[in-house]
Amino acid sequence: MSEESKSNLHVFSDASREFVTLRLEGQLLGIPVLAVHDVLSAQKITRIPLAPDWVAGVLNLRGRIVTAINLRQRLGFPPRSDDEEDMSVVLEFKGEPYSLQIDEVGDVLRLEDDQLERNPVTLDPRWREVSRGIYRLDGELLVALDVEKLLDFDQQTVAA
Amino acid sequence: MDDLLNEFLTETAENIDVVDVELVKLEQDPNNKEVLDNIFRLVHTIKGTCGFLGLPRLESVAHASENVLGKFRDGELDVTPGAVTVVLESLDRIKEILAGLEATEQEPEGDDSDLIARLDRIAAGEQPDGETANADEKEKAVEQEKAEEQPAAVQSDEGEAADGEGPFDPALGRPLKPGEVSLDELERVFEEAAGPQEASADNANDNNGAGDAAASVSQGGRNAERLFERVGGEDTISVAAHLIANRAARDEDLAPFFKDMDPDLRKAKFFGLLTALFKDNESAAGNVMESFMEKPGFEDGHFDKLVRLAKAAFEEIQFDQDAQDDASMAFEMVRQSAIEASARKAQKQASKAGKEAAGPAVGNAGVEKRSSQSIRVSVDLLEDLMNMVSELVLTRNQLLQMVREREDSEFSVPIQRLSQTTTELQEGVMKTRMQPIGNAWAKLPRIVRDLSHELDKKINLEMHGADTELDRQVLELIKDPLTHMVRNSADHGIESPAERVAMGKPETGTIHLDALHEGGHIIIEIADDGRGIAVNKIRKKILEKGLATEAELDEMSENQIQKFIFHPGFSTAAEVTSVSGRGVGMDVVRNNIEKIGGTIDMVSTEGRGTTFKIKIPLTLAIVSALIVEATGERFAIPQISVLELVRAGANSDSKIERIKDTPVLRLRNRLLPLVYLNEILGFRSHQEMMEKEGHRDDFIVVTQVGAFTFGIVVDQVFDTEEIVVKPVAPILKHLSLYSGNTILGDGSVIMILDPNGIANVANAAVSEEEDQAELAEANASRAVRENVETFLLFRAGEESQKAVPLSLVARLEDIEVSRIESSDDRLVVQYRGSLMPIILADGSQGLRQEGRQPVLVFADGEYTMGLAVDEILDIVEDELDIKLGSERPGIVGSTVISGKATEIIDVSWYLGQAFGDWLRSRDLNDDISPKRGTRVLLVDDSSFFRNMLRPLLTAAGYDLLCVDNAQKALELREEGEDFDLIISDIDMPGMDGFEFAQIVKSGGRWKETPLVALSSFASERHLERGRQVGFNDYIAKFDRKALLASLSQQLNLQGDAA
Repeated sequence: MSEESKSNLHVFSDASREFVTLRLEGQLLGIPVLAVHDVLSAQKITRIPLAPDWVAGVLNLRGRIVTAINLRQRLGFPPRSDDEEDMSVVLEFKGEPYSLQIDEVGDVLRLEDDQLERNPVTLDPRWREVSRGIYRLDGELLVALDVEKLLDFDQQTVAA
Repeated sequence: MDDLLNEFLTETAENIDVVDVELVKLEQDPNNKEVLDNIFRLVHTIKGTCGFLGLPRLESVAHASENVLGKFRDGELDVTPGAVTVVLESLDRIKEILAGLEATEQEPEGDDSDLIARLDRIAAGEQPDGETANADEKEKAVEQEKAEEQPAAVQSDEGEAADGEGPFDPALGRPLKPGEVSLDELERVFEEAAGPQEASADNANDNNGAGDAAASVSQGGRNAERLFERVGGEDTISVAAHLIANRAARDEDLAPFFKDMDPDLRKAKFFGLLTALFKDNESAAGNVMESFMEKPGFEDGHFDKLVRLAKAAFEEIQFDQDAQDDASMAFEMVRQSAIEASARKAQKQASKAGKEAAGPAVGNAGVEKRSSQSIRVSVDLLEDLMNMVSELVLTRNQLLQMVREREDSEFSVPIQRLSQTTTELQEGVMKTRMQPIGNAWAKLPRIVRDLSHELDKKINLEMHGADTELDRQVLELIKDPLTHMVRNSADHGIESPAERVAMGKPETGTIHLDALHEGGHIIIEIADDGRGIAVNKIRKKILEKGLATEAELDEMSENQIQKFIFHPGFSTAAEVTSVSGRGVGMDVVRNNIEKIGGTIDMVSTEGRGTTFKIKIPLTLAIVSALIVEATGERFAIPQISVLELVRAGANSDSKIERIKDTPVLRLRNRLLPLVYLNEILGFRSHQEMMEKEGHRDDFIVVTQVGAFTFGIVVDQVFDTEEIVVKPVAPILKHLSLYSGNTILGDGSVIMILDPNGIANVANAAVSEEEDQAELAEANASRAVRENVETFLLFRAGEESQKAVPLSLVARLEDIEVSRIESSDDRLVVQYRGSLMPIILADGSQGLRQEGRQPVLVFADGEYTMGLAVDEILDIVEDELDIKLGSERPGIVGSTVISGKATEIIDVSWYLGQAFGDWLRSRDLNDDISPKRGTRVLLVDDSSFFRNMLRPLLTAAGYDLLCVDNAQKALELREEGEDFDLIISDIDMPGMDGFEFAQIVKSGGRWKETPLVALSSFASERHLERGRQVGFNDYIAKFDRKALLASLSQQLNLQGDAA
């Protein structure tokens, strides 16, 4: 992805934006479609002993080593039972590939900007930090994730 | 960025670096013509290219320094440090401008007039910074005169020079213009331009036609000063050329021949012509003149006109009358060649011009061929190639794995070939990334030179192995640390010349820089012969910064203390951000080196210098690694740090043993500390690991980090594999256990363990161990000096072990506690028919309640005492080297024995405790009790004597060093060892004691050291001779008391004198 399109992720002037939807413990999340490089089914992930617990490990994506982020841990969900397999959504941040480990990937949705609501002030700080806002869908709410904040580990202290 | 500009920047940066180095060389060897030519050429190239690209600021600076260099080269100026400093400054300015250019693609704004003016003053023969001028006074006067004249001339010229020229530099008398070329360049070009057959024709012409005139002129020139000097040199000629060139182009008669030419080229040619004429260089002048003649029809009349025009110009810029005439006369030299050349042009134009082109083309072919031998490739491209090769290696590994799994595959042969080719390709690409380490050194001579000027020191930088190659990535990473260390050596290491002389060292300090290959590593050594690292200062600073307590320091060896310079937080720099080369601590240097898998070590002797040794891998990209497993996870350990593999288990010879909770392995003749990989990775607790032990086989990877060797216990060992090291994600950077990650042949990702990190995590005291290992090594090498003593190790009271030289111990006894009685408030025991007092080695410790009490029995004449200790530990051989004196009664000081801090007990003190009169009977001992650390050198060829005197003197508190001949003693002197007193045997093979004394007393660092002779022949005659050659005292062997008394007396005398 070019630098230009990446920086456009934040531009709200577009009337509508496309999101890849993900599900985590039933909650619908959205990532701007342009940020997503790959969506992979269950991958063999190598654990990294002593790494922070929101780092699931590393995986091999066509010869590139991708750091897998345990999104459940990151967002404060309980771990899944072992027999369920995660899916990976691969993103790139500052030239490094990262994969978000999620339960499942849904459709790509085009969402109108006027559907976007600010984060409720009562939102869990861990969520508020990485959410750009909430889209009101029919019968469901979608949390738009801010990929940069999610992956910019230098800038924040990740809640343990 | 513009390709052209880009190339210019790269090339110029390289050239500047070379000039930097060469200039420093030149300064040291001002007469080196070759170096000077090289510098001149490079600066000239820079200037030329600047002009071509239209970079006026750069060009003017380059021009001004070229001017100075030109004068160096022509011998008109002496190469002085002052002048070189200014030229170096101009190079810095050029670098600055280049940096600006690189950032903005524009020349940055700035004023260089001050720098240029200084350069010009130097060019004019003035010495910068008030240095005495060794230049010819007369010449200087001429220059100054000229400088006064010039502005006027230039002013008058300004109006005419209206054809859009750049600023006129008054001091130079030359407009600074793009495309300007030096005279030499011109000469060369013109000489080459003339085709071979033409040249010979020219010579003939010169000889026939202009011969007479030329002869007379050159005769005159030889008699008097050359016209060139008389008219004021290059600068004046430049002005004249400017005038003539402009006027010739405007004169209606001459214009047809001159006006079509580029104004700058025209001026340059006139400048060349005049210079050649005034220097009597007939053939060069002829060539230049010919080159003017592009058109036919130039006849005598035209030439006369030109001469008149020139004469007018000469008059205008105030040549004196004689010079005007001579200068005009000089033109006669080229009249003939001008006219004939023009005539030839006419002929040639009439015939075809085809032949002409062939000549130069042939000449150029050779040059092109040479330049096409190498090409410039961008680093990015090489990086890409390397990455691709890395991928290829991975894929190859994958294929190999697959083929291995199924036997008799039809693929196996082609894959073998693929594998081979891949390896070769990999090596090839690696080679393209290899660069000589000299590239990283290029800036050092300049830095050292600048520092030595700044600090008024004399420093010689010696570099060896500059062509040793290593990966450019590694090179980039070590560049700054290296620079920093050399700067440190020059700044803090090397003393001022006065200090050095006072120390008996040569005035000029030397910094050695060595690089060599060793296995897959490159070893870089930076050694200086400076003052070394002062342990005291370091100690003070450590305490100031609270990095260690006094007590901790007391237990450290000197080297351990010195190594605190690598400690984070030791640096004086307020904030450590990056290795900029300035104000950065050694901890950053160490970090940077360790980051690339290297190690750094240091040995420093106070007063003798410091040596740093850096060991770094040749390349970072592809390494061979051992794959191991712990709790089902695989990890890679770089093969380079693996010494061997040991299998330990129930059925194996090797077994993991335990000291309390610490696992160790007996490996041949030593104990190897072990760490559990499972434990340090947090898979299992220490308890779990210990419980599991013995029930299964363990694999121990014997690993070496620096001098520290330890074993990593793993569950399983697989084979070794070539792995491509990929850096870990930034969010994992803080995990010091990993140096990277990689993809194995089967496609899985595994982490690469960093042995450094493991060593650190596993054992915070690693550095200490390391030092002890080194100490042991050092001891081994020092064993030649027979400084090894046998100690009895025991424990009494506190945890730390104590020691006593075994030679002082009469017997070891185990005495029934019940037999120890108390009498007159003292503990006594009936021993061999008399009462022996028992002293507790540690006052606070009591006797055992029951059972047997270990006692060391000391005997001195009729006095026998027992020292009650808690436990007798061991008898070891180690160096008697008291690291720290002690103020505590009963303790001589501390040393390191078998890797542990150990207190050496003072037997005489205990004897004094036991017998109030013992000390009285040893009155002598009182005054012989020297200050702590009084160093005594014993030179004696008899090992019996050395062994007899060692415990005696050591027990008396002297720090004794023994050598077995005088030659070795003198070597110690050369090494800079100092002693408070020297005892020498007289009768020795080789150099005898008298000769030795003569040499010692004749000068050098031991001149004032008291000398005591020891001889079995203590006759009057010997005594006399001994005094004559400089012995302060003469003692008969076997006379212990006399010896001790003499030592004390001599030292007291010495002390009084001081």
